[in-house]
Amino acid sequence: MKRVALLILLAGCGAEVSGPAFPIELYVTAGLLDQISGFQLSVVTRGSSLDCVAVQKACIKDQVDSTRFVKLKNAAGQDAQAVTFPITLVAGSPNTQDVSLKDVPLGKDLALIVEALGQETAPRLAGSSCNYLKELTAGSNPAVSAHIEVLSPHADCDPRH
Amino acid sequence: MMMTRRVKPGVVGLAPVLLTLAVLNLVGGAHAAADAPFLFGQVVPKNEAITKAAQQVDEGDFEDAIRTLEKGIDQPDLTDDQLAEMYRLLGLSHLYLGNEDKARDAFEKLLQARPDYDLPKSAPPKIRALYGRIKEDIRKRRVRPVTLTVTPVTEVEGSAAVVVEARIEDMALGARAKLFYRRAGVQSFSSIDFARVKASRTDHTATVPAFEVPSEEQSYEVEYYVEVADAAQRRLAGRGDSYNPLTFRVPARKSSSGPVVEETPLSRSPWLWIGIGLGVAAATTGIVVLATSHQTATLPVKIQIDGTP
Repeated sequence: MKRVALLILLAGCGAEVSGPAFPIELYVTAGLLDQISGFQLSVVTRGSSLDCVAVQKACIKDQVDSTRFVKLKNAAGQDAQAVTFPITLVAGSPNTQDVSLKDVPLGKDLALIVEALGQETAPRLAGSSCNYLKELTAGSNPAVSAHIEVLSPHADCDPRH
Repeated sequence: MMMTRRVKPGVVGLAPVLLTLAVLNLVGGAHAAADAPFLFGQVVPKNEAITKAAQQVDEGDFEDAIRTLEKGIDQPDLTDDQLAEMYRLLGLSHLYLGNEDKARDAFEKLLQARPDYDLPKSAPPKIRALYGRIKEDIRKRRVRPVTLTVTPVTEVEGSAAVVVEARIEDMALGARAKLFYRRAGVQSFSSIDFARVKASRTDHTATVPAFEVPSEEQSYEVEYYVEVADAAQRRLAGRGDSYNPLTFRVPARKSSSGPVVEETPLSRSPWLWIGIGLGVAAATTGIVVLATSHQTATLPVKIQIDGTP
């Protein structure tokens, strides 16, 4: 029992990998290393108008107009429609990875789309999640739990913008 | 002198001797001091028509007295006191002749000027009763409207008297027109009476003394209003009032050297308020920019992968 508790504690405090120079912190505990190379996060406006079931079957960039993507800061500190970072796995179960989007513009009626990038040279969509955000307020917001459903086979589209 | 009195039996019906005595009692004062007749205990300025009419009434010559008075009333430049005395004698004459309607007209004018006037107690009871009825009717009657037109004063020269002109039509006898004025910002009003312009029945002027509007280094405003009130102090007409007065401006004193640069009070300078407005706008913008420039959200995301490795 003590071992389990220690394992959980260690998992929670797992090695911090601050992805490139952009403000996303990664806490990787486990993953599907052989299928996923990284994640791409994007935030789109008019979140309530999205059909999340449909969204998760294909790349988001092919489903909504580019003007609906909220500008995020990429690794170079430039505005980007989405931010990506590689997967880093730490032993544990379930296969989870904690990230934190920072410096996100405030807004209402948004949707957070997390897309898993496949291992292919030209990565394909390995799976995605769709979460409705009623409002993003200044400072820290409640954590979003994004469940990615792995597509098998992967969708025939490259999620990258 | 022949007495030409015609008395309607049904109206008065008193013995001539008794009537004459009563009349003597009523107008005795006027006759006793012909040079300076009395009006209800006050000295009335000398007037030939009043003197003659008083004597005619004294002698019971009422019809002649009426003719004298009707001519006298048309004279220009009569004072209100003289007019009041004429209407009193006229009313008495008609009353004793039994002309109730004409007596009513004359007493109405008299009572506008002297609301408290009453016949002497020595007057015969029937005459007193008739007068009492007329007085009561007049008391219940509405106030007659007066037409007042004031020539607005907009700007005056400082340290010079300010003449305010007013045209007053249908002015009730005994009514007074007054000019109320005060320097803007002062609590109470001062007042002066309007005086009728000579040879005119309607034109009046009131003069604000020069010392009340001195020329100063800065311009200022004077508030004023005109009010016509009857002898009972009921407002018959007016232009402006103490709450919404008219105004005129007294400009700043002219300097002997160089052009006049009038100093507007700082609080009235548009530039001051524009500056304040710009300052407030800038401060607000700054606060908003500061408050919003770094307002961003942090969104923790916990990604869970469902699937088989």
